[in-house]
Amino acid sequence: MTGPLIPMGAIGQSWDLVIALLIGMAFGYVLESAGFSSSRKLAGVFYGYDFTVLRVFFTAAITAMLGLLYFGYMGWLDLSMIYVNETYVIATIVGGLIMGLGFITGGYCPGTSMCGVAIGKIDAMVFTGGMFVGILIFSEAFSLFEGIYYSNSLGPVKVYDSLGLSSGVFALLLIVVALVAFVFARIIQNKVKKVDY
Amino acid sequence: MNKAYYILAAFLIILGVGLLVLPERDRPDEASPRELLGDLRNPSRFISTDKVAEMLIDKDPTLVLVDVRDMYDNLDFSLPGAHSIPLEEILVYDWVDSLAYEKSKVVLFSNSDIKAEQAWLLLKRENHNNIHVMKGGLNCWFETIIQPTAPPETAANDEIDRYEFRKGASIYFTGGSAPIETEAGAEPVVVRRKNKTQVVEGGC
Repeated sequence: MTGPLIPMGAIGQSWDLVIALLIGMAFGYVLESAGFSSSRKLAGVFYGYDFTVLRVFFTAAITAMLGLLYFGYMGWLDLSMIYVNETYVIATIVGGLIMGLGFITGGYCPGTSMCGVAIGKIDAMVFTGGMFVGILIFSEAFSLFEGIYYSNSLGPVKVYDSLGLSSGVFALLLIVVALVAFVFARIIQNKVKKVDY
Repeated sequence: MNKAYYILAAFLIILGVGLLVLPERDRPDEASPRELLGDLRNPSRFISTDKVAEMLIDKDPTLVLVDVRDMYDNLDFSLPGAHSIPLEEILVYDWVDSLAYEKSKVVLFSNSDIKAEQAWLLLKRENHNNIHVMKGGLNCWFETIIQPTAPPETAANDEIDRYEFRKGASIYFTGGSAPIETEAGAEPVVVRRKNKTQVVEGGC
């Protein structure tokens, strides 16, 4: 087993932030190259004229999933050492709704808004300003939200464990779902009036 | 639609199906808790300081000494030819395979047994079977090899032979200076000077 590199000690923990910075820069570069610094492109997924976001993020998720599963199978990666976020049911639903509302009204998600700021987009700057105001309010009023924030904790659960499926079956199902979604997205996109931006 | 999309879609499906049809893989590179408990009860992992000294003197090529103490402790003092792999880095590299052959005897040591035992447990978990622990660590090495205590005169021959070996080993490892020790119960030797014979001075 050689991975994950930092928990295994192959790379010292003091490199955490340096590696995060490098990955962040690479991620920002890819987002910008894919045109994700445009709020119109991102909002297109809600109005049906551009599904690039869906295709890119779904493909990225599937690629990462297959990579992890195959690396784990080959013994190159100890999957039990990968950190899995805990699931808080209510907080996830509420947070998802707020995030979705912000996404559809502002046309950005947190990462892409930073890309927009980096290339000087005014709407992205306004969005980012709003995001930081939101963070400030949340932080200051955390004691009010604390009950919701920590309620219904399921721990670091995985979807396939909760469904009682093997990781392989779930992976194949997710690939099929993704491909079907891509086809439907294409059909919808062809029917919706094209938007030039 | 672009032909490349079909190829990519087919590729993803093949990879997904591959995960389903791949046989369940055994994980022989990790010892089960039950095996580990059995090995823990078995004292054969220990190797005495005498045996290590003997192998060092014989320049036994199968001996691979590994100092699991901190690097600074290792720089202060260590055994001849020992590799320094601190406990914190014991799993970082697959050093066992690069340092040791199939017949090698990897001997871990620290100041006492504690760190060496922890390192042994971690390596055993990774199913390395040629790992040993130098019993008593460097503290025992000093007590038995560098500064051996003489057995009483009534001790068995084996014990006396071992003491003789340790005295020789001490000279070998300390660069030729024989250990100075007093035998237990032996009376101090009193040197009695003889009166000098008076030389007849003068005369006729």
